[in-house]
Amino acid sequence: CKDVLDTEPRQSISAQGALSSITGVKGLLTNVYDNIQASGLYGRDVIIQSEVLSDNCRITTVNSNRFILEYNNTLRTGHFDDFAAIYPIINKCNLVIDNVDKTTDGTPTQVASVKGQALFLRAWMYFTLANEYAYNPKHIQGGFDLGVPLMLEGVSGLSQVTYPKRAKIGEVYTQIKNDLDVAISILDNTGGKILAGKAAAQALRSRVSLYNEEWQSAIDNATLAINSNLATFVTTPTVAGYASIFNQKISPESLFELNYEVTESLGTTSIQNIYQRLGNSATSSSGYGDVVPQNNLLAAYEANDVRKAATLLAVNKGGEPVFWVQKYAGSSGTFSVDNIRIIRISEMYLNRAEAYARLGGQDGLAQADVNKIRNRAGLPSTLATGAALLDVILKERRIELAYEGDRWFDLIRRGADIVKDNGTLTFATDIRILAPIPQAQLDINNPNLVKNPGY
Amino acid sequence: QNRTISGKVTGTDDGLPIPGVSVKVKGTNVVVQTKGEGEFSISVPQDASSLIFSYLGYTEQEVRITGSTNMNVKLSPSSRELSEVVISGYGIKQSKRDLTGANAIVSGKDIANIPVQSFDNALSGRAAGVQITSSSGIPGANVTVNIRGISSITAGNDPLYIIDGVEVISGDKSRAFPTSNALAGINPNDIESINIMKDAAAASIYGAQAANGVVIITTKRGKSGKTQINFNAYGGVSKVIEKAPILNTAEFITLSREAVINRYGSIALAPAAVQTVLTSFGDPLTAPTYDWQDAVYRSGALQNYDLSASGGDEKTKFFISGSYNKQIGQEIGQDFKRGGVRFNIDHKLSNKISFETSLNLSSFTQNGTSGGTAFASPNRTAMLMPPTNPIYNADGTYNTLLYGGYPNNVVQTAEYNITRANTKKAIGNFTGNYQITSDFKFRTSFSADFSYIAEDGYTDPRTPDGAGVSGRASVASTTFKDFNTDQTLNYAHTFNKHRVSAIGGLSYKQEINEGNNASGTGFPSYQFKTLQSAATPTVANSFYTAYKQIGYFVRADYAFDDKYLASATVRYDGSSKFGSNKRYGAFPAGSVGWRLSKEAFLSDVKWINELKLRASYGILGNSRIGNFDSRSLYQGAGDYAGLPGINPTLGNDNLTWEEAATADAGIDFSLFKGRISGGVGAFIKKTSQLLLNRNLPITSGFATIATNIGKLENRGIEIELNTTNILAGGFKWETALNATFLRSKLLELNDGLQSLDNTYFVGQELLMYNTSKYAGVNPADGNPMWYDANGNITYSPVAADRQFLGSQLPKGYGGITNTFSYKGISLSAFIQYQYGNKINNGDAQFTRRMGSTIDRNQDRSELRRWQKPGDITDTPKPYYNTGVPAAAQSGGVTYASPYGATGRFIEDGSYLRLKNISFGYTLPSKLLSKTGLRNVQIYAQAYNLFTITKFTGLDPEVQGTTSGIVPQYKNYTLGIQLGL
Repeated sequence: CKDVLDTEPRQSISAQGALSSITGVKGLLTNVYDNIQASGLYGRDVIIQSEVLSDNCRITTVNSNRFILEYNNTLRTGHFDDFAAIYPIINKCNLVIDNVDKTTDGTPTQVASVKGQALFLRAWMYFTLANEYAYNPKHIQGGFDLGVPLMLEGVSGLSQVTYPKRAKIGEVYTQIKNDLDVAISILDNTGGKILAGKAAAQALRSRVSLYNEEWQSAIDNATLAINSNLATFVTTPTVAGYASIFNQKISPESLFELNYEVTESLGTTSIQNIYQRLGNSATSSSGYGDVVPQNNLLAAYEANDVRKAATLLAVNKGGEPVFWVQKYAGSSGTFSVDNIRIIRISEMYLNRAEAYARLGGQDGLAQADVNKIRNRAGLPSTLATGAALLDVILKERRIELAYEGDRWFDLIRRGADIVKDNGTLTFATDIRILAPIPQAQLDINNPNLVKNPGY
Repeated sequence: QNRTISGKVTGTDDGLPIPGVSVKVKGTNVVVQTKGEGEFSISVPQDASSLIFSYLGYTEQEVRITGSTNMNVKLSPSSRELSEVVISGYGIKQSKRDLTGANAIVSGKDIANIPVQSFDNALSGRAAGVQITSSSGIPGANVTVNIRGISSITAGNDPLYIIDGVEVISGDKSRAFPTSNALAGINPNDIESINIMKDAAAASIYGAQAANGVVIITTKRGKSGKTQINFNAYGGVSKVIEKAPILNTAEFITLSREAVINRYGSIALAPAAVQTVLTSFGDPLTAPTYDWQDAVYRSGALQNYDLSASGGDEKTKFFISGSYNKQIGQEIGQDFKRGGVRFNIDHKLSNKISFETSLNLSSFTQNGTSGGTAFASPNRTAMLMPPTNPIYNADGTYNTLLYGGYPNNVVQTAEYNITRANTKKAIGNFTGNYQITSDFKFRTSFSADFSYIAEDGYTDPRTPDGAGVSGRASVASTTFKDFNTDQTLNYAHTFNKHRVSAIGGLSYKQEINEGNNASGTGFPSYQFKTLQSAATPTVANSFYTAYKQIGYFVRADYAFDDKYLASATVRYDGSSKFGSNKRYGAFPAGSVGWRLSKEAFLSDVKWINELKLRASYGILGNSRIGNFDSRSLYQGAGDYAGLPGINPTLGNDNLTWEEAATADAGIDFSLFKGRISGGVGAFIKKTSQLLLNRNLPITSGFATIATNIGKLENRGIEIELNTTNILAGGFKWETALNATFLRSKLLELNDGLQSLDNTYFVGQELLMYNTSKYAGVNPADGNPMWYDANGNITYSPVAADRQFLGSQLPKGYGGITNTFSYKGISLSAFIQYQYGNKINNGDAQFTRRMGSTIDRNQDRSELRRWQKPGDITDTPKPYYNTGVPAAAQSGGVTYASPYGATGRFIEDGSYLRLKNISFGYTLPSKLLSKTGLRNVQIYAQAYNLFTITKFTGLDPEVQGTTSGIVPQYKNYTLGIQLGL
């Protein structure tokens, strides 16, 4: 019945009303992209943390005190901390998925597009959580096979709040794959590179398969993504040619990237600010220029690799010779504004090369894929086979995807030790391989949540 | 056989006729009322002995009937007497002797002409149980009003203000201006009386809005009779109450050098950059001192004019006034201007139907500067600017090449930048009364409070903040549209010894608050200051919010033989703010009173004129929660790729008011013919259902939800005492005193939490400082020391060493007014005080760190720094850059920062302040008889004249942390009042 006190807000809409139209559901989906853009997630932290936790990057001697705990792999405080940022995003994906079919005004195409994107984004976020907080299903240590809580229904009222347990990592992977398979079946590529489309889902599916050692699926999905023609593999084997992958607002190589308008600048918390200073000038007061390659990464570059000259700039910072990363150099034309490349076509060739090599008997196909990457970098083709070929592919993956946030995940998905300039984390015994579940979540909120081993 | 007695009733106060006085033949039911010129005519039986004259607000008078048929009577006003009339909510008028609740009454006369812009500020120290704290010395600044302590942690502690029946907005409603008081739109000199209703018995008729107390303001209304014109003007000068004691250039250089030498062994061993800085300061013997405080403080000026006319006849009465107030602040760039008019018109259509209308229109403009700790805040930066920096270049232009940590030439920014707020207010009320029968009256009331706040900002491209963006302009507008209506039915009946009155009704209110703001950057030159000249719009935003509430209430008062009093109220309140499951609630209250002075056993005790015991208990609500906090909503947030986003919030269907259960007991008295009167009361107020955030598992997608959990209590004793100490030969010395003693305690937080924000601790006073206690300086080496958890000395206290160092809330506060009068001369001195509270001297964290930085000026207390073994002092040995010995010097000891957020700067905030002293002289009426003037008064006032305190910061009249607060002003005014 109508109450005299009924008051409707104007700048906001009641929960029931907001998601009844396709534009409302789309608005919620837009907010998901916006949240993932944040500096605390893929805007900066996930990428930088992956680089400095692993053997790729270090912090300059003179620094702004950022990411030092992560570089030192300080127990508890120096690690990924995305648990609290990602679950609200997953909840919004769930609300989109729950409600998009119920909208009355959405065309089937619109519904499929929105639902497919939400499934992709949910899968991506669960994949991020799984890689940060759980052992890879093929490299379980000490029988600790827990993943993360699987929340698959949207919460819009207090009565729906639950206190979930952590699902097994296998269940989390199954969910991620299911979401991506459905997304692939309903998405197309009409949204371009800055919205998740079919090719993005295929590409992520390829990465998930690679991590889960399903080699044929990794090959098949990489091939689908490559053949989508959404991305163009840059072939010019010069410094300028290679730099062109990164110095345009939207990368020709991207299958999916996060878009930043000038009004969405992350300012001092942007990725460009941590990799360099304004004008690549060591004396500028804008920017930090704190995160630079470790020696063991610099040593991994072969002579004449154009990627070194194209993506690293030698600078003397406070008396210390360092290299500043040029992969995020204000490619939108404004300092601090870069799109973040999430999946590039180069990774698809590397996924496929590795999967071929791992399958055995297909070294020729593996060489062909990895040599596309090598030749483009100005390096000669490899003729290696077997285990040596796999080593070449993994090294190429490290160099090609360096500074883009791949490295930590790439090491621990293989159960590899982390050999850094400042020490080694042994995969089998070091508890710092897994990020700690936030203490606040363990203490007060959810007694069903099990902490990670050793914490 | 009857005979007729006629005559005239006038007041002893102004000699004017009083219409409406009830004239009763003693021992009969024969009553008449005086007419417009105070005249009456009454038919009395032969055996009648005397007539009784009574009128609200005047002392009842019994006059013996003699042979004469003419009787002229003079009634004297009964101020400070228990017969005073109190106007409570919904037009209820009560004699103070019938009150069974806790009310504090402040007469408009007590706050008239006090040089502040809003009446709430003027209430400071005037009423027991009411604590007013200024937030700033900016003219028109908002003030904090806490009635009986703090009863809410998150939902707000402002009382409900009702002006002539209108529920008005209060607090700081500006969005960018440093501080603005919504009540500054009311001319304090229009106010007749203020009734502060503190306990459940008094306030419960306002139900869910009453937990923080209710303040009823009644403005002046016309009386029938000759039209009276009053003109009042005052003007004066204002000065900053205190400047920060800072170093001169010689001292600054000496200390800077010493800090560098302590750090590096000698200046020659210091890094080249540090040596360059020290050299640039020049020779301490000859380098000039530039006094930045002198440049930002000035002699302010204030002026105030009121003109009013009141009068009318039996049918129509009016009070109209116009006023203008202007204060040029004691700090550069700050001023306040207000103009306003008021129309209060009453009309009696017939014996049954009457109307009352009130209308207040006003506009006030405040100019300000960047506030608080901003670099462009004049007072803050003036305190910290190295005294070696000239303010002006040799050619008279502003020096903008400033060495040190403060890049703004604040004299320049105050002149060039714009920070302005203009508030326009219209507050109006229409009330109709219909006397249905002699017992029943219907009253209908409609009110509106419209407020519009327009704010302007401009950061000049010639200033450091504006240069990078070629100037920045911003505008913001905010509107409040409040509407409320009350419909009540009143009943009053007296039979035999029973006196019954009752009121029942409903009240509805809605508030719409909306606004927009925009800003842009990139101006062709500094001459273009408005938004249309901006090259790049940077912000465009708007908001809308609203709430509605409805209340149904019944109140009944009963008196038996004027001896036993009882009152009961229940209000059933609903608000759109509350969750759908808890939208309505009942707020009951009851009270009793016993007038012992009416009992036979006291009737022979002549010196007791009035003695009353009273007690009350009831439940009040605090509905000051966010308008849509209870709702699950989606609002615009976060765009991506040019598409707009929306974001969900999690609602709580059970969200509801905070609930305050208040028990109150007191005694009111009037002794020795009113020479001593007052009251003593005690209360316990327990607030439950405190609105706090409960943590949720983040897997739900939400981190917290606002829920009603948590409990706290306030208990206190309130004393009000009015005495006439001397009354002889025309000389009168009166004292009015009020005192409050208060204790708060947090009883319970959410989910078993023991503390919140390191400020609220279960079992402790609210707003507690919990940090490590400073133990002074080690006489051996000059390094800072603290106490650890066991009371032993430590150099590096840890979290476990924290201890409770006291609460921000005072243990007691109050005020004392002494008034001396002789014939037309009066002298009045008002002192206010508080004690037992702690203040965090936040400015000291910056002004007492000579060890750390040589890029800012320092407090003079740094001069008593430790210099040699054996020095006993509280100020550590200065070390450049680190503040404490560097690792290589410390012998392995880690020292905590002596200027960090520890107990070193938590200080006793007790103070006693001579708030106001005023002298007045009323010219003898003989002198005026030829001039046509009714009265002339000349007066002089001094405000904030002096303060006794141990607090070492700028001003103890603050709550919590002082950091960059604009210090209060003191001023001296001269005024004149003319009556025609």
